[in-house]
Amino acid sequence: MSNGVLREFEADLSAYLDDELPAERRAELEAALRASSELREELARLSSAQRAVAELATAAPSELLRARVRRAYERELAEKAPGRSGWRRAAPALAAAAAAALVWLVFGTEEEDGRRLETAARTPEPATSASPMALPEPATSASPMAPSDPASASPAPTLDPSTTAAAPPSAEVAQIEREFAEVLASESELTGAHETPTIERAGPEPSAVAVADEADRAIVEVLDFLETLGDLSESGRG
Amino acid sequence: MGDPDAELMLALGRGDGGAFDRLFGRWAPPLLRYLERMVGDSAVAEELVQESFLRLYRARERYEPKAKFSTWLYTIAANTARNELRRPFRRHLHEVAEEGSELTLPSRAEAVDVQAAQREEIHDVSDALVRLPERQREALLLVAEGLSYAEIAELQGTSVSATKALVHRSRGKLAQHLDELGGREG
Repeated sequence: MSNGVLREFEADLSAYLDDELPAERRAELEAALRASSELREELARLSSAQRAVAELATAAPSELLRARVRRAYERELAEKAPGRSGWRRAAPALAAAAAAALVWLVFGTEEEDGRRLETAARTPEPATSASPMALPEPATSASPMAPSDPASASPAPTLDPSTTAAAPPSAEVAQIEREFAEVLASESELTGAHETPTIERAGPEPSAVAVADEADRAIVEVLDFLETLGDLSESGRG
Repeated sequence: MGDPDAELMLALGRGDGGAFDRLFGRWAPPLLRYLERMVGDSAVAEELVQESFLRLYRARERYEPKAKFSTWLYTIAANTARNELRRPFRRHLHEVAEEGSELTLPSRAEAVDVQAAQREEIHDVSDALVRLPERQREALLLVAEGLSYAEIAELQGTSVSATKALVHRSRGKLAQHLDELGGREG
């Protein structure tokens, strides 16, 4: 048998071992193998390398690994729990800042402008107007998704739930809802995701708590989604 | 659907925590085997298994069973291994900095290759595997894990014919190393 046969079939030997050759080529190779001792030797050499890898000893996953993965899994679960998201942790501070801004807008400017004092007098003063920190509690704290672990929550303003429930769903809240919906929709377009999360209203006139809860859930969804997107893009680069 | 692992993954996406345990039970051993052979270090391999399962969990809600589950999972594992192999060696950086020369950061893969090349002799099959270039080693080990050439091509972002050539080169090189090992022992 000439070296020509070896050269012709050598590149197919590994694919033959891995059962990756089309039937026709496989038949040709087997015929060549019967006729060529050189080809058979080369096949035996590659086969022993294949066997050597397969027979490499490997330890089974240790109990420690099992425990570590379990812990990591539980940590993820805890972090993903609605009451523990980063947004929720930041919510009280954000709400306080927003409230302070509102107080300044409503009262601060009125104080500067004497002509508006009369208007201010007609406006029912919120019971909590003494300080921004006493304004209605961010909806997150009053929601059923509130953190179960008080130690993990940021110091939240003390609130009166009745004032929270009475707070009207403002145009700003509706605007925020619309913006979230737009963000979610654009993310879906970018990634080809089929579903665009929507915010469903429980009733015709939702309370501020319900609206904020829904917006909150949408944010958690976006954060989850972006995190996964990071994993997938990394996977895609590989 | 017919792929029980994909079913488990979808169940995990629906919040079934037991599905995670079952996936770990089924896939941790082969993943550990692959990663240990890939990075040549069992402790590091365990860390990478952990990371792979964490990534699996984080992707649970977006998972779509487009490809075979095993291909998808090995893609995650292969990425963790690549990242690990490209991680700069702190010890090396420290040594170079002390010498006052220019700071260069070799990847872990380069460092592993250098270490292997510095040793004149191959002591065993693991040693011979480490001497293979990373991409060749990856292809050869994925074949050993039962992935088809088409699946490996997808995972490596190449063609089936390129994968076929890569596997053949890799196995030929390993056979050569083993011949050298056998020659010395014999």
